[in-house]
Amino acid sequence: MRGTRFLNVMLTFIMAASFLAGCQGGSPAITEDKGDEVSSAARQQYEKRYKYTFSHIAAVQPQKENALFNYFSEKFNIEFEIWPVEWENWAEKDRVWLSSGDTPDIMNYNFVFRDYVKYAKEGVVRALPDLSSWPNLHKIASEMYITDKLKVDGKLYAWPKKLTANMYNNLSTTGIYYRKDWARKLGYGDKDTFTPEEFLEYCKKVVEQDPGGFGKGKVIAYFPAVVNNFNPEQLGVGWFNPYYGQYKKVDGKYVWGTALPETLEGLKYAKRLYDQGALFKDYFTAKGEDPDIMWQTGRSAVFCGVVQLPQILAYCQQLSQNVPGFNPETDIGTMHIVDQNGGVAAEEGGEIWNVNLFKADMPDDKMNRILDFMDWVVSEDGTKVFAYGIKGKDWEEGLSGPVIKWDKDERGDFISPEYNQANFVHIAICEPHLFAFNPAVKGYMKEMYRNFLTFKKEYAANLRVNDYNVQFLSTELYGKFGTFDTETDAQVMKLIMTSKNIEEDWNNWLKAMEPRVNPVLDEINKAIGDK
Amino acid sequence: MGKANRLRKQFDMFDLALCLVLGIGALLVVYPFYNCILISLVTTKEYVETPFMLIPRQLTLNSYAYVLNNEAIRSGFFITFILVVVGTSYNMLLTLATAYALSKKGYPGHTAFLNLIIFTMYFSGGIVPYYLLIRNLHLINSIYSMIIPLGINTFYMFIIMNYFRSLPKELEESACMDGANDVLIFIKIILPLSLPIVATFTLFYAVDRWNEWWNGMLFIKSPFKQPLQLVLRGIISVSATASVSEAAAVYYLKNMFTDGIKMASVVVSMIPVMCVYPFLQRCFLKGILIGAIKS
Repeated sequence: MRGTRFLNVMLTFIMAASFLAGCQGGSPAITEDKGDEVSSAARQQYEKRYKYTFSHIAAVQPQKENALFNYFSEKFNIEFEIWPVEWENWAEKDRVWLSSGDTPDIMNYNFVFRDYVKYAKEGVVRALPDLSSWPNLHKIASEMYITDKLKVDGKLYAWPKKLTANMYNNLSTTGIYYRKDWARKLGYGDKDTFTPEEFLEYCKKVVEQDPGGFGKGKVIAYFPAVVNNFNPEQLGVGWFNPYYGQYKKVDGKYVWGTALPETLEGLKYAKRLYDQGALFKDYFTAKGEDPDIMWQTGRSAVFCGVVQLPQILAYCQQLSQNVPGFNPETDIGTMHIVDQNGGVAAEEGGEIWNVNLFKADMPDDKMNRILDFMDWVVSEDGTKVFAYGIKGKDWEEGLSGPVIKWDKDERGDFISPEYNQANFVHIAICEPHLFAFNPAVKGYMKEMYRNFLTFKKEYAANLRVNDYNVQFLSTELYGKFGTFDTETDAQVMKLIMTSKNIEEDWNNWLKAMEPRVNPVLDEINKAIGDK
Repeated sequence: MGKANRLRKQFDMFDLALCLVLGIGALLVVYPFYNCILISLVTTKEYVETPFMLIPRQLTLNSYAYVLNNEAIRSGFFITFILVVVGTSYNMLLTLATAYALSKKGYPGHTAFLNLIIFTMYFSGGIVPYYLLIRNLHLINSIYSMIIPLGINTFYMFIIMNYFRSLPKELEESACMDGANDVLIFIKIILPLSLPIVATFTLFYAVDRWNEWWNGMLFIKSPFKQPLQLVLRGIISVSATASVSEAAAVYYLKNMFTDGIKMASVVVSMIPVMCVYPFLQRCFLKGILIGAIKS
């Protein structure tokens, strides 16, 4: 009897739960299409309200009280529903959505040229109209080399989201930060250019003399960033051969950059960095944020990462908090690794990182509306709104520029409003450089950023240029194997850690890879060699 | 005195060595769990300064505040709760009924059904056909996409089926002679005798539903319908890109400890299961103590 009563209670509970499941509603912040319910402001220009589904990597759903979202939502009479995509499943979701035809209205696509051409030809995505009606978008598209590369049968099926590696030139922003206060303690003054040998000596001195006072064996000299996987370029291989992991055109023919003799020189150097304690011994087992954490808490002397304004701002603030007596104006800097002639190895930043694709059956007026929004995003007005916030609430136009009305923290630094603006900026552009407008970014930070990039441009001696002919190749073997970077990185890691004769082991491995690499090279040279 | 001697004889050097070894093994198992909780409660600086922590100097709830203040976490808890309750019930109902039916032999199609089920253990249609099937059933972005397709774990079903086969046939025969039909025999006789195995697989299914994320990743578009594990993966994934992304760099600017966020996410997802588990253990014991029929 008691058991039956218990069973009855459980069954009732389960039925109630399943009813709740069926009644479970959607996002509280997003409403359905409201054809007739429009704001008075939008009614004048945009009569019909459109809702767009938008997938974006690492996007955050707008919170309920998002003034910026409401601002442009009213301005253009649109709303968004974000389909979140994470790094681990981005490619898989893209493939499933495109293969099933169930794509969002605007899809942030993990760009693979060969597959993109296939989807365009199969009609899975829609072509953009002629962009001359949208002057800002037209300007961006016409300035990019790859826009024409993205055309399939004369039509543009993807919006190329301009990357603009940095604000000053077209070079990538990978760079080296270092503790200038420790360098001064070790007698280096304000030296910020080091040859590879000088760099190795500096790191060894850091380990031996422990300028941070952490104790023997606890100070870290060089601990470069690891994002998803380790990067041999940051271990010095890239300083000797920027074409490591790429294909390089030599005398009209493509060769495997990894097999160039400079790679071996870089490998030998990287091994010395590791064996002599300059490179942190746990580097190869580090997880994603470990190097950043060690750098920001003041435990490491040198850090290789991205030199962009948000990172500079974050590092200056974190080091000021975590290191007693740290002065961010004088105690942190960027260094360059130079060859014997003072030249630096550099690489061109890509014009794009990913693209936006549009749902195949999107009506023309809906398409035009989103292009209006995108055109405004990259306009001067839109940039100011995304950078400063809502005019009148967060900033005002002053005589000599915007007057910021943000709150300030206990240090007197501005606190930017939390509008998740990066989501919607990325509908139109990849790297908006909004932090250039952020009042929390001080003059010395901007100077550090500018000096680093202008030096790199001026003294770039071993420049890796973007070869879009290779990147946009859609042949079979290249599409399948790429540049063999996964196997190469694994081999490099193994050799640095365990090899007793790195030259012999590396050459043997290159020989073993020839049967796999040569067919890919033959295919590339047949398709685009001597062009 | 006699008792003390007996105790000394019962506990000798071998036992002491065994205790030491097992104690060390227990510490090796417990410490990572304890370390996980500690990391979720300390600041970045403390974590870096004392990688081997036993008692932290300063505690902070910043990581938990970040995780629990996330709106999607709260909805994730609710969704996962629904999945566990409804999903587990649905799974057990289908699994037990299928296992009981397949435990009988001799009826037409028995072998064919069994072989078809075994086939599905090794082969599937692939992700895209699976997605198309769910879409055609209008289950995209519905919580039922995380419940209905996952009806039966065939491995669990086979174990239960074999258990049912091991039960004495005389029980069913005597019930049949008294006029009971198959459903009544299943509910009144078979299930009460199978409580240990029912409790065990209820727990297994409940843990599977609690850890559900893959179907959610594939079919759920709305962040407020995502199960808890998927929400936590999203939090961890965004925080991991702070060193290279302008959008994610705000994690550093907010002074967030990304490893602390990860561990807080782990603890948040683990605690409810740990709270429920002891109650199910009682079912195991009770089931074992139920008297068996001697044949």
